[in-house]
Amino acid sequence: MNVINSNRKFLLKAIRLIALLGLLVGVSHRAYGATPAFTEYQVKALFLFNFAKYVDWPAEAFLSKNAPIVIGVLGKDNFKEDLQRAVESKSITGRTIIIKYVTADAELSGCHILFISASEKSRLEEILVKTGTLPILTVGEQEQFLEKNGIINFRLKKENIRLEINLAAARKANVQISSKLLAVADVVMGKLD
Amino acid sequence: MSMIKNISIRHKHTLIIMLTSSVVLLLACAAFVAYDRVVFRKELIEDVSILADVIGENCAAAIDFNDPKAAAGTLTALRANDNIISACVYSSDGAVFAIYQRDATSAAFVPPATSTASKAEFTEGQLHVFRPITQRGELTGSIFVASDLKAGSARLIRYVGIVGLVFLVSLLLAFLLSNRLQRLISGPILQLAQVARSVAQDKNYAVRATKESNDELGQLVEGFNEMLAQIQTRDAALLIARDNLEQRITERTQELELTHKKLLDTSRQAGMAEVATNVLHNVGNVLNSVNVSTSVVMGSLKKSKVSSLDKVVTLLRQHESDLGTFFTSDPKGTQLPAYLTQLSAHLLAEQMAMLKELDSVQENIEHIKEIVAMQQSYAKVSGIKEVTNLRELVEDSLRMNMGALDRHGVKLIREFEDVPLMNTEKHKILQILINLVRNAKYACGESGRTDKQMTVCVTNSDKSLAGGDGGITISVEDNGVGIPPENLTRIFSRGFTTRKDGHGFGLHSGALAAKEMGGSLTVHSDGVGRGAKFTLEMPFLTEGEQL
Repeated sequence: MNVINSNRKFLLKAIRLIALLGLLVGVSHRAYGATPAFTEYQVKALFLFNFAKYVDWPAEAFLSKNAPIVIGVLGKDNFKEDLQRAVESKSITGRTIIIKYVTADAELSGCHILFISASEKSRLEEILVKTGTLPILTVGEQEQFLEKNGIINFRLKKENIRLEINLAAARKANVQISSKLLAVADVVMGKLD
Repeated sequence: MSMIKNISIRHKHTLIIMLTSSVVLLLACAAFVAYDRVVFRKELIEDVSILADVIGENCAAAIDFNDPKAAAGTLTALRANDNIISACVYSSDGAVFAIYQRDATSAAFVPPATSTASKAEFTEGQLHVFRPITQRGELTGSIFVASDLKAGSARLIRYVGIVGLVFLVSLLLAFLLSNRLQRLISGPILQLAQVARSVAQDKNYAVRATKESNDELGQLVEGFNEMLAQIQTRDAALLIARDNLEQRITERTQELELTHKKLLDTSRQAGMAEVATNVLHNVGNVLNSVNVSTSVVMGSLKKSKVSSLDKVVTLLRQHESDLGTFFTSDPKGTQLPAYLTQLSAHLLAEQMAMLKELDSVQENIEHIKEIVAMQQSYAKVSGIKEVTNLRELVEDSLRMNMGALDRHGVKLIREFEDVPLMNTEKHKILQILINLVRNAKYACGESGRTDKQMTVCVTNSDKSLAGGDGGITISVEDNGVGIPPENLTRIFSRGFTTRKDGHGFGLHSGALAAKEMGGSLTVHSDGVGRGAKFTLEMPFLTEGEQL
């Protein structure tokens, strides 16, 4: 419950701030928080699903044309049922979304999006080396994630979840990230000029 | 409308063409503009929808990854389009995610409730467009964009300007063209009107309109010319007829005058025959008296004692030698002086008686002369006019009767005004005057009064009574026997007379003559014993008024 309350607080603050910013730049638009009543992991769950809309995997990443997109969760499951709820009855370009809780590293190769929980901080490098060149969009929630060849990192910034993207790692993994996604990211590393 | 009716056909023509052109052009332009309005709205919906789609797509990631600032930034791109008033991005659950408002100063923009269905509607001079935002088939949110219609207004103004320009240029062209082309129609009509006017003004039917075409106008001109020709022909015919008529009237007038003259002559002759009968009757009566008188004188002469005087003379001759003795001694001789005295007295008486008879004869002969003279004067109706001084004429008539007037002891009073000369039949008037004076004298003589008096007046007629040119009035008034009222009406009838030796002709012929000369002879009397007044009015007649 604590988390929900703090989330509410930061959203209200964010609204005030953005409104102030809008006034400062002379633009008469006000911004509204899109998810006023969500917890951190509800938001992260939604984001994980939303990544599927802005990322393209190579065709060989799927067994068939209608094969589902697999979101893997590695480490401590903070989502509980939120993630399952976020993807339920959704489909992206004809592919359904399924959740896979990865327990053995051997299962990594079947994932398209892999969320690496903060609990795996100690063996992050090891995991990221394993995913390496596999067409897996790795998503983390800790410092130095990008530097360790992770692709997208959730960063809690001013009580809001912001994105950091490592394009070089994405290229290595052969996943295409839409420029629209890049546009809303706070940090984009490894851009090609 | 009456103003339009009265303007020249040329202007009317131009007006009609211009009006027609204007109406057609306006209609075409209106249709053009109306069509453009429809197209504009359709295009506007399309444009705004596309814009909404593009902006929405660019906001998708911002919604998906909860970045209202990025969405607001994207919406700011709408600033490039002046016509977008406001916009709003909604998240998938319908909550407002980011808004845009063009005019910071105006009232705060309150976003409408979202609609995930694609929708476009015109309300309150704005276009409201709702579009869903999808990313890879997944509904991410929706966008609302409100656009004003100023572009349309500007476009409308531009189009109206263009239309106005086209309209004006077209009208000018139409005007110039119609000005040129309408001459085809108005030209002949104007020419026709000109010819008609000149015909009406100058009455010149010889002019002709020129036929310039073979259409209805040409036919009109032809018909007009034909009418003119007919009028000309009829005019000429009328002129000839008029001349003929004048001649015929002159002829007829002459004929009538001749007939009139003949009739006058005939009636005059008939009148004269009657007069002659009268005259002969009167003369016969008088001759009877003369005959009686002559017989008396003859009888007297036969029984005359002149033979006794002869015996006395013979006796005296026998006693020539002893006349003294004879007178003293002879018994016969002594009786002779007494006898002679007796004889002388007898002869004197005889002479007196015969003289008296002869007087009567003379008077009767005088009367006959008078009657004959009257008849002669009447017969002498020559109609010759002379410039006459009526005063002198009155004087003449009085002089002729002066002896008789003196004899009857009638006092004569003259009241003469100065009157102008008059061109008239002198002898007729003289005859009338003589008659009047004689009648007056007779009336005075009959009355037996001692203060016999006759007043003769010559005056200028009262113009208002005598007609336009005035005239001269002569009146003869007496204080004689007068005229009983019952006789006043018949005093001018032929044969009427109160005189024992009258013939009833004088006044009748006088009145006739006066009437014939254009004048009148009237009588007035207050009754028996109160005198009478005869008045002769002679107007100045202009030529042609007389019979």
